[in-house]
Amino acid sequence: MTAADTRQRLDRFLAEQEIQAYKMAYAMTRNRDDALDLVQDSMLRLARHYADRPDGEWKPLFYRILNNRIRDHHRRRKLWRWLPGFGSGNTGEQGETPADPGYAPDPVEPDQQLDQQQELRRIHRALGELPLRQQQTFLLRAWQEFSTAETAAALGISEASVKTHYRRALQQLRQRLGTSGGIKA
Amino acid sequence: MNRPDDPITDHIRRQLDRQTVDADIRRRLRLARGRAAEAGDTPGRLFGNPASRTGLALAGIAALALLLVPLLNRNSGPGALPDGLVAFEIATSSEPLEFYQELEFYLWLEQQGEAG
Repeated sequence: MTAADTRQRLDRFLAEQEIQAYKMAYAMTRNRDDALDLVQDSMLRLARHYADRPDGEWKPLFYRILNNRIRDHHRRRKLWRWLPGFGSGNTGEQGETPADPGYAPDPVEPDQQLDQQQELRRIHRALGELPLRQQQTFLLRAWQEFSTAETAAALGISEASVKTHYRRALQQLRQRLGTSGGIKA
Repeated sequence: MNRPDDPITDHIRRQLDRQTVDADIRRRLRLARGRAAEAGDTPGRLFGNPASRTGLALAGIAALALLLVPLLNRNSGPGALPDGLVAFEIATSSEPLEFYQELEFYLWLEQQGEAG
């Protein structure tokens, strides 16, 4: 395997993952610059430490790194809120007005687009109100379609914990978004 | 991979999938990807391939152990020689490559666990 091959395969893999990874990081940070930084860090870390691993291992490793980075980010934010002068600004964090996400609904009729934007904000708000572990578990399981075992590996927790976090996340989201009435297709 | 079936998960998945990322974000992600792919370009790295990386690490440890063995022996008297030799043997033993590759990651995870 030549260096050019590795670079090409890595580039292809990251190209497939980058948008999903960005959306996932944004859903959990509500800040586009932070989300971009987290994805970029994760890409670099994967490339530096795991480029020579088989391609099949890249996806779980990449999401494991990304989720660890997101967790570190939340811990730093919590610390900053305790420090004088850092606690009051609008950073686009959870519970505050979200910053521009850097993405928008597919171009459709203006009314429909507005509905979709509002619905997306509602979803982000509902996700943001969950504990971080539940957010991570839900997004990996429900959106990235990881299995329970893959989610456990990506988050470094047991499969039983994944099931518990997922079930609780689902209950909370049902309450906040409605089981069917509030859902617009 | 599997897909949990539930109206809420379907709805959220559909909404998140439906979004298109703006040009600026796409450009910045493309740049980040390019930098990452360059970083993964193995011959460009200091310790390029796994064999040379392991070899260099072992050579470094062996050299350090050779320096430490006489010091250990001198400081702890005649009975210390076997310990020094054991230390040398441990230092120069060959661990699986994966061990070194994962070490930093697991250390990080452990720190996460302790912090949490």
